[in-house]
Amino acid sequence: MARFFKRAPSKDGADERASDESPAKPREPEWAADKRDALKPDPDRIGISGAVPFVRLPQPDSLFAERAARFRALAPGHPLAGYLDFLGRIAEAQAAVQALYADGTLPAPEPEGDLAMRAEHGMPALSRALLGDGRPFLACLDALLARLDLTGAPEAARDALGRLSAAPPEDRLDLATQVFEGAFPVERMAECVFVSAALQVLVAGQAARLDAKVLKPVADGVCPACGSAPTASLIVAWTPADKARYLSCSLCGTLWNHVRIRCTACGSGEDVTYYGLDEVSKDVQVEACGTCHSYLKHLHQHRDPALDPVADDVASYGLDLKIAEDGFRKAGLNLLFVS
Amino acid sequence: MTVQVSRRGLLKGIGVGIAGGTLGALGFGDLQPAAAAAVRPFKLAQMRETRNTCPYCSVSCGVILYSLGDRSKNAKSAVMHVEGDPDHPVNRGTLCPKGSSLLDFIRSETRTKYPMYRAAGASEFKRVSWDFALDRIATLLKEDRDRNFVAKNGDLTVNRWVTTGFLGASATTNETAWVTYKTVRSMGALVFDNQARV
Repeated sequence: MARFFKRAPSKDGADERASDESPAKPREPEWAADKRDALKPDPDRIGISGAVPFVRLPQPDSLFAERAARFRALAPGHPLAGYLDFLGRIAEAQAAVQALYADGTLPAPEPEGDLAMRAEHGMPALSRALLGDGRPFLACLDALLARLDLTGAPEAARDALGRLSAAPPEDRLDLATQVFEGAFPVERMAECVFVSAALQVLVAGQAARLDAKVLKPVADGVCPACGSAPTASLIVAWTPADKARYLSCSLCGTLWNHVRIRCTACGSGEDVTYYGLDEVSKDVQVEACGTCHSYLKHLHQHRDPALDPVADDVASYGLDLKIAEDGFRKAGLNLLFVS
Repeated sequence: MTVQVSRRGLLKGIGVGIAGGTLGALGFGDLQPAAAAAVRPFKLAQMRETRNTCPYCSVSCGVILYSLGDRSKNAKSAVMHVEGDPDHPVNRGTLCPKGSSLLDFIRSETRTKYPMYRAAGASEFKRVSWDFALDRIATLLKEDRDRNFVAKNGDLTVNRWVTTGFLGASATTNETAWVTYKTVRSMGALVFDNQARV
């Protein structure tokens, strides 16, 4: 749209010729023309554009480190302090494992041809096929478990870590496949947390290397990069998308645009209400849909840029408990906090 | 047993609540009562966001009205904030100074909320019924049209009525605007705009 406002190149060539001939006017130096251009009205500078970017790919280099910092900041004095501290350590380990991949040793995402075909048929770009023979994932999981410091964590957590470390590779890979597909074996919930954490590092690294232009909307509330459910909805304050809403993927951390005031689960915009606990935080709400009776966390990142979809979803557990009393079900997924 | 996440992101399967999910499985189950107790004294605050169109000019920027309270219950809802709609293709979340002051427009004490009538010679406006107002408008329109309608300009049939003007609203739908146009033009009125260009 901004193009409409841009001025066409000046058509008064005749005038310019006339002034060239007049000896009174000295020739303009080249920089003067640049300066004049800088003074022209340019609506792009105020950040309006015709369409907001559909996706923002994850930046794994900072994603996990910032999440770890957010967990550390949230923990003191919180009713769930112990758990926030525990997840903070997981995020730190994720950041450490991510640092190993910084030199590009990750296997490449799927071949170009496959990606084009997936986009054409309305499928997300990444599938569980990227786990392949499991070697990259198992290496990632081993690296994560080795870096995880669980001193002071409950026995159940340390036991789960031990069980997972001792499990045969096929079993771990099987668990990873199930988590990727969104199926959690109830009796192995604790182990699933560690598997999810490793999977997040792996898939975020893959998603970061996709071309944002090839990603197309798949369906309401489905990540266009990996097909997973969202963790939370963020109102962002980026320059080309001020106050637009983005959903944050639970698995790969990709952010994708979703129209505001529209349910992420059923697509209805008829009866959407925002609930919050003003006494706790005005920046964390839930978007509840009266049509399908589901809700998703709604974080006002434009007011508090520190909000992290995963960390603040856990920290606002009280809000989940309150809204569940009103008969709403959660339509989002937090792999580190399945409740 | 497995808990399956549906395509809509909902967890399917029994026992999630009973098992306490991840919290219980990792041995943090005793934190749950504390988390519940921390929010027990508080009441959920409700807020609505409603899409609308700025009534000022023909650009028709999208706005979001933020209101407190729930429409369905007896609570009285009140608009507490107005902002540009970031999803609207026309303005992408921006508003001009007039649009930005819409909240004052809504809360204005002098805002006309129902038909008002000041009889000839009277010094004050009085509230009247819609029937009265519409009858009065129709009568005056007819009187003026009967008096000033121009059927012919020389030999040429023109059927025009230029002594009365009509303004439609900016936030009407395409269909409403179409009906308004047909109604007004069929009376021969030429001074007509489907938009209040302030």
